[in-house]
Amino acid sequence: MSYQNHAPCSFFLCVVIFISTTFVTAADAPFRRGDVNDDASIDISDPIVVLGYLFLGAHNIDCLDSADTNDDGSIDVGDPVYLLDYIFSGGPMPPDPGPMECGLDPTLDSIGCFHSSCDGSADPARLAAGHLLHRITYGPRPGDVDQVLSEGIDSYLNAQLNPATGIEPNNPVLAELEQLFTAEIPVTDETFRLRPNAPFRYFLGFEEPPANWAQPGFDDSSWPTGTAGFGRGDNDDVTEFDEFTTTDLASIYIRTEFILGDPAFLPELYLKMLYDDAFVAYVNGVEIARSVRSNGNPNLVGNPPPHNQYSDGSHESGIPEYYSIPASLLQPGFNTLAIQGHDTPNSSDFTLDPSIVSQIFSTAEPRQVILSDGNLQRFTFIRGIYSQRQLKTVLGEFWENHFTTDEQKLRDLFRELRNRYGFRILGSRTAGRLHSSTLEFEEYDFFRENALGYFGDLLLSSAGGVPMLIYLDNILNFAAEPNENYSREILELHTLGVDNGYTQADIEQLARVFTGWTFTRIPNEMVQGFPDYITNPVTTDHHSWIETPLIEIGEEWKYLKGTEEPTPDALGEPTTGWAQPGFDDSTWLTGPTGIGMGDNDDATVLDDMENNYISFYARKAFTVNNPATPDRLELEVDYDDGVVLYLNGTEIGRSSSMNGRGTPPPFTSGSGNHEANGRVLRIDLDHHRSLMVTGTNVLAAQVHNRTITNGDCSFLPRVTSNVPTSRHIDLNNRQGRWEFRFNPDQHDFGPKTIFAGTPYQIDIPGDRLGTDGVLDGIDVIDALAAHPGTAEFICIKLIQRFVSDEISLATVSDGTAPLELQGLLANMIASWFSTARPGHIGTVLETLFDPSQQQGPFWDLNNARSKVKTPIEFINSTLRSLNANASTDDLVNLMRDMGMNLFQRDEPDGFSEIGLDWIGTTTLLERVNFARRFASNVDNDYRWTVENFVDPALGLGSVEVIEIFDEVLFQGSLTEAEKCVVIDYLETDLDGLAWPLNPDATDYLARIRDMVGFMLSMPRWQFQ
Amino acid sequence: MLNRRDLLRNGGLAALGLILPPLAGPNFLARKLLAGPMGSGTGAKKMVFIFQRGGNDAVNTVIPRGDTDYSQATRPTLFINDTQAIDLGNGFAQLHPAMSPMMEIYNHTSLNGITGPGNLAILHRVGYPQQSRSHFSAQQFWENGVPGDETLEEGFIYRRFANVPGFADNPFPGAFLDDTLPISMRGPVPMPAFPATADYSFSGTLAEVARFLGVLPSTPNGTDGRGFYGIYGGKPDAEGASYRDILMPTGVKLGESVDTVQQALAQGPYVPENGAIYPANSFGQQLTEIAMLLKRTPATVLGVNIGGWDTHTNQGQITGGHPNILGDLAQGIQALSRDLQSMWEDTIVVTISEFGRTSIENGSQGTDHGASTAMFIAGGPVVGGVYNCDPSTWEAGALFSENNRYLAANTDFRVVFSEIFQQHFGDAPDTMNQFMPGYDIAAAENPSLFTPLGFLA
Repeated sequence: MSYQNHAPCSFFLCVVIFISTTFVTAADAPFRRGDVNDDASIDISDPIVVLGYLFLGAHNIDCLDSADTNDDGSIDVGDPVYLLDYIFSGGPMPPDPGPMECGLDPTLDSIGCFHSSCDGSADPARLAAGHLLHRITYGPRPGDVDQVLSEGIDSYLNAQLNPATGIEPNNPVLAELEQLFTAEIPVTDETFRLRPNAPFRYFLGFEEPPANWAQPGFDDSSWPTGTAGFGRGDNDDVTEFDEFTTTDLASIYIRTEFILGDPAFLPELYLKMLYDDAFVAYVNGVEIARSVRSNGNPNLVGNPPPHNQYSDGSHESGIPEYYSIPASLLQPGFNTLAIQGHDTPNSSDFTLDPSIVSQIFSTAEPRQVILSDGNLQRFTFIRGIYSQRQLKTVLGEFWENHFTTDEQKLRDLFRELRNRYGFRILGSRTAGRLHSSTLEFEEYDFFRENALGYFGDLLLSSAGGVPMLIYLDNILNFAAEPNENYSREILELHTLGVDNGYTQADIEQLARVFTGWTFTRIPNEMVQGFPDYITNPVTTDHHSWIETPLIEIGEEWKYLKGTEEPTPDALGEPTTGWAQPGFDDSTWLTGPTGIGMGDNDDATVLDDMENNYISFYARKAFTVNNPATPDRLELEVDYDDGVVLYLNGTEIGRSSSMNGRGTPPPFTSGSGNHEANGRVLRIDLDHHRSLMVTGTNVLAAQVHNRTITNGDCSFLPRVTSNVPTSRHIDLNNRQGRWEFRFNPDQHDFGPKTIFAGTPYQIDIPGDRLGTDGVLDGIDVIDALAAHPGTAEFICIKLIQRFVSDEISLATVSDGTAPLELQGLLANMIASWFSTARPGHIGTVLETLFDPSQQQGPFWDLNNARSKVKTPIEFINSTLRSLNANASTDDLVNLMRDMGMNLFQRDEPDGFSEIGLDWIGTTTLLERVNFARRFASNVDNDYRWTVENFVDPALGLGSVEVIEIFDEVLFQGSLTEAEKCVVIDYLETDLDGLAWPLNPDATDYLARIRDMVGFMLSMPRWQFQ
Repeated sequence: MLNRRDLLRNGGLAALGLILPPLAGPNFLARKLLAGPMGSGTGAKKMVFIFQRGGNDAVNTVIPRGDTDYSQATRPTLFINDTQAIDLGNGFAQLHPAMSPMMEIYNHTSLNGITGPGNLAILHRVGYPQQSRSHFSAQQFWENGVPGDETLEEGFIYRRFANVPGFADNPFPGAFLDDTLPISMRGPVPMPAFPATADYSFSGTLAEVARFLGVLPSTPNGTDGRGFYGIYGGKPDAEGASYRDILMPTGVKLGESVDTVQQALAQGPYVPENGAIYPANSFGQQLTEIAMLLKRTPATVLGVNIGGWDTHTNQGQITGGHPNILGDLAQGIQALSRDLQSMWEDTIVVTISEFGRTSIENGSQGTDHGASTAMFIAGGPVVGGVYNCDPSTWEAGALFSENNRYLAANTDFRVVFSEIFQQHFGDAPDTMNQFMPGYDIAAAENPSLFTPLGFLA
């Protein structure tokens, strides 16, 4: 190695020595000459340190310059002598810098200063304000430090600890962004006139249909029948057509009839459309609706659009759209709905799923919904970046993470939810996400609005919230079959902490406490506020009809044993002749239902069926005065093993056990397996009113056994008309809410004891009845909020979040946590119990942040920048630091890539508050890549304006520019060494050559941006 | 080596006149790479570990057919009958049918033509004393190697590999294929973690990245470095402040490991050998990258997670969630065994999971957190067979031998790894207590749990 002398690079002198293509920067720290032990004063201890260093090897001196007290360029016995002379004999002061002021060595010598408390020191008041902002907000924005200093820390803290609720005044950017990521659903009273999943005649648009296809008089009997929705892909269609992807099919035509009483007495009707990608709809032959693109232009042209036209632009099904149907088009009795649906080219999905509703609009505020998980996650950015109520926003994220739930688990459940007739109600990706994201948002919003309130409220809200009920399987927690998932985690993760004063027996007892806690859907009129929806819970299911039987079990049916085909055609093939209204069934047998054998569930026993015949046929004539009434006609059949049902000779449904058995199935056909056990087949007869006639109608069925040797078979049919109660809500109705339900039928009412034998034993009495069973859980939640173990665990987590992660339940238990943190914890626990109702978070945090405790763990500036930022903290603080405007689209993906997929964590423990968990090569790489991209403004989703910080007209050089961003990002605390690396970076080109910053050059601001990207990549920006 | 303070005492950095090499010339990385050839070559012993996070239902994975408590009565929907399961040939144990791909390793090595019992060891009833039923505690214990210690965040796998000479200077001693490094691989010297190699790069052109990365200081924590290396290898922003001792070396390791990985990728598209077909999902992709990294970098330890094991509801009997991931796991191990034949004699593939599950099925067609679990160990030196699931080790009532709910452990996981470390890697017996503090005491207190199973020759 060749030696080459060079001067120390200090930031302000920053002497750069060029040696061919190489130059050197090495920083010395500022110091106080003579203050050898770096205690900010000069006294006898300083010369002693020098003497020890020189003669005893007893001391290290971190800053040799400070020991060169006479500034003669060497450290020798003259230095302590000079200092002693100054201290005791009124000798000359040590040369600059010093003795009280920090500074750099003005003399070029070979002695350096590696570390000194002067290095990186800045105005303590600014550092303190910056520290506060780094902890209770998502980081300071430009001007925030000045704001806190002018307002006073007490006043600022007080405002953050006592935030208002609701919409923030004077924050138009936040209001606009919140609106952007929210959709509104008007509050209406919605009643189906044509329910979803109705039967339609359909025609695939390989050619143009007859010109009058949409007219009421068109004979569509040659078109096949299918059940809506029609389509392909996305798992949200009932009748699927692969032709949309395997051929160049562009369109489908569908028709059905719906029946009305006198339209003059009906509220206005709407076509409620789920579609992908485009449609034109006709009522009684007149166009009433045509889909449009987001720019308002129709995506289909022509009257009508031709069959081979593709949609101009795509549209996803999921959120229904409503189109008014002019009353003038409607007529009493049957009306014709006809729709042509069109796909986009090469699309993998298509949907046409219409229904017709009447609506009565309410004046109530529209319901806010969140359309997607992405929009849900965006709230943590827009509120984190723009809200002035920073502490409660930080805490909202904290509580959401503490009571973590997984939006994806909710979505999967909602997408599989089926209505009374077995059809998915939210099958599409879009529809499922709307419900899961909205519920997660409401959970998060409650946590944020109540972040500084009582812990017991947060716990109760979580326990009775739909997300948690689903996420930790409490909806599967039944008296007969307890599920411990929630009861374990409420103790381990939400209240006491792992192994902190509970046993497996407590978990098992607690599971029983929460049996029957589930959720349901309620109509708007039943919506209650917190905590009433839990303390005064809904106990019933969403389905609540008062039924009037039209055909009851036990009534007499005609029936025929299936020993031969009842009405074969000329070739002997089966027909539906036997099911037609005019068929003569006078030779058939007569008997009451159920009809069948085995299992002792039949009134008419076919004791010769086993080994002789596999099927039988049944008919029932009934009278209809007006096919339009009464409302909500339903056919309900329990059966063993298979059944096919006909109304006036047309098949209206069959059990899935008869799928693929032929149309109609031959008398010899066997069925798949099904037991008559209450899991009935339901058919919505409202969908089949067009088959009904005034006068005599015939319901017919063919019933098949599994095998000819099988010993049981049953047919148990009934027909009802129904009137919904005020409790009822149709699952296909966009109105209503998913809400907590306490189901007494699934609750274990026995006595329970939790924490038996401890001072905190909870005894749940065994004499509660009905709705009072919900008190078991409410009692436990109250007791848990007042349990010292909960106070301890929650306060530890708050300390981890706001002060230091060098404390945990384990280190508190074994006494190894830092003493000052243990002291703070004790004070916070005392505050927890200082209120009449324990666990007031605002009171606990007042203790934590108490500004009078300047030497305490929160305010001790040695603890500044000691906590590693989590990804959300890193992103938000980065954007806030430079006053970036963030439309936040890419931020969601960025946060996921950094390992923090908020609202979608699979594990119930939430994201870690421990710094170690966020330090890793990939985590750092993602942060660095983001910081550099952001600083360079290459991503339109988050941009900042460098001119707001550096006025190009001022011609500032490297040193001044770095000082500006040192202040903006670090409150002026960069060390000399850091500054030197930054200036070297700024002034080095791609070839490693010196490249002075030129204010007149066109790349001036771009280079400053690049340098800011480097500063945001530094270790210290990882800390808060 | 001189430390910083020695330098200062001798007159400071300035007196030494340290000169930095030019950015474009032989840089720090090149120096590091000279330390060892790319690819650890033959002879270097390697380990791949797969963490089944969530707690695998070992009883439906390795079925104790000979125990009449495994029945329709205890497992109404999950019970797998005799004809559905794969017989393991010891007259007692059977394997879940979804794991059939692994039988190619278990039975014979049809792959390499060598007859014999195969080299897949199936270990049942592995755990530790006083098992935790919390995911988080149990995972921590399995990873820090000190059951009962809730605070130790350093991994026993880390400690074992950090003990290898040259570890600290190795730019790529190993990696974990996920966003974050699990506790098992955490320690004072950071190891790389990344979910996929392709994204493991800095943004910018090569020249821009070179300028951004800069050069390390000439001495640890020195002030004469440049760029990213200069700042992460340099003097901390605050003396003694939290986490600098982890974060700053992580930054240096980031630069080095990105370079290693990108050089490995630059060798061209990776094609698995010997007909290996990895599962067509992210787990399979990560195993593919593990194989690639084993062949093209100095890495000797690589790990990956596979999730979905917390089967409280609708676990699935021979189809469904649990069978699907068992199938992925088995196919993945099969693919590794084929792909890594060139280094199979030097390789151990081992699975772990934080606990097994309740022996009785719950009311939601699932199982809850339990006690002991099963491990699979494959590799050239492995003596194939079933361990801890045969008439001599499986007592009547074993399925309910702990708390009347769980299958108690017969073997401590630490002795399993002790066998791997000693027999495969040649570590001295007295290092076990260093890698897994408390090992000797635990072994003395629980001699039967610490009896080696002998799955390595």
